[in-house]
Amino acid sequence: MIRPEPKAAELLWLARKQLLDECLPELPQGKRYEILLIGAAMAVAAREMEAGDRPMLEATAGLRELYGVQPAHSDERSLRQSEFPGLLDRLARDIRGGSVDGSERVYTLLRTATMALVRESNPGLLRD
Amino acid sequence: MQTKELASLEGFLRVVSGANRVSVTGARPLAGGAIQQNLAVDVEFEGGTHSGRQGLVVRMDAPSAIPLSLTRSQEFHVLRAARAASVTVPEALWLCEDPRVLGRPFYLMQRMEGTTLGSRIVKDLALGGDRRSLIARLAVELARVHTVRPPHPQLDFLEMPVHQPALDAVLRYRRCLDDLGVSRPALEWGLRWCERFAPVTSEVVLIHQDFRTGNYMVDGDGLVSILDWEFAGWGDPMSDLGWFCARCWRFGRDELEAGGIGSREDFYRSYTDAAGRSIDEASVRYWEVMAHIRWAVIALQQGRRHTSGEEPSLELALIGRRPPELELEVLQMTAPGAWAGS
Repeated sequence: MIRPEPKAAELLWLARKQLLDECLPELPQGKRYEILLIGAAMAVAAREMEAGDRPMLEATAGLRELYGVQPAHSDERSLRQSEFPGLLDRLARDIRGGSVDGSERVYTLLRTATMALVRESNPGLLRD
Repeated sequence: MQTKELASLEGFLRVVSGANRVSVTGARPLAGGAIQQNLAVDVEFEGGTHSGRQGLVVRMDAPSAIPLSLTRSQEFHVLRAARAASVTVPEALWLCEDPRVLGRPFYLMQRMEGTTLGSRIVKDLALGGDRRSLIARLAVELARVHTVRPPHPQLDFLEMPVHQPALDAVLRYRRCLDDLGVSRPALEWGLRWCERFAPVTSEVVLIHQDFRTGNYMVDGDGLVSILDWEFAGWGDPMSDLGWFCARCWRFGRDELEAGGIGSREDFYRSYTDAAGRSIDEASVRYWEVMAHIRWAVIALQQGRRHTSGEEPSLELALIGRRPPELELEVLQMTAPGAWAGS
């Protein structure tokens, strides 16, 4: 069965807008901080839904290229999902061990992957 | 606070103050403080050392803690040591380690009135008096903190650095990541840079370790108090300057490198004059990198307090989502060009 529109992320954005535009002005001042937290959480959740697993899949592709790992079979998505934690651990160990100090390639991979996550948690930072 | 707890607190206060009668006339939670819990209490003392109406703060452990923070007893003693060094802090009055009183250790301190909210202080120029005077004053306060040196009889619980403070910090945050069981390659990149470029210091002093906008109180005239001493320890004085100037603590006023409220030059000048100690600018920049790593580790720990079920909290959950922003700053400060020489 197909879910009717609107999709989950759009629902969250709509609910958030209503919360902040309609509800917040009517609530006591003491509730303001809590409502803004709720709005922030809804925004992060909506952006994460919109991004889906694209950041993880792209990071995995970058890690596989870095380590020269070839896929063993053709189920690309589930393969990347299962590979990602192991490749991430390997990169963390290699960095800590000092074998990739100052590497442009590793830096680019890290920066790209981190920016993808910042797009979800705080995209305003990337506009500076 | 429940009636039974109020009565218990009154009983404790009667004993420690020597009052004939104590009445807690008001109690309300104070905002902020994701790590500890603060209660504002209004107390009437009949007789004793604090006769009259007093505004106090009860500071106690939150239901779950993070590994890097001091106990209430330790914090109490740090606060007293800071006050003895003429740092502007609330007076720490009474410490209670008996769990029968309020269920967990707590202490009471003088309640100050003012604003601590960092995002408000950086935007509202009506707060804090003249900004250049405020920056100078904060530098003087920090210089006073740094006059407290080991060994100190009331602070023997603070651990001395095992190696150099910088390398100790690298090892500490690697251990934190291992204990959390998380792989954060961007933080590992920053930590490896910090390991390679660790400054050497000949001085170990008391450091606040959370001296930043958001942890001092101001009113319309200027500084009221330096707060939140739960991370204090022995370390490199430049690390406190690095934390204060770190971009993550400027609340969006990135051009005002000293705490989002003033220029780095003004802050450095006042600190140097007050401390009689020159500033190692490269070392401060190093500690700014470490500041972002440290805040990211703390944010991961805060997030874990929520995800573990120990302390379900939207605020903690959101803090736990912040590390990528801090990691991006770490990466930008430790780009490949920053690795030349060591």
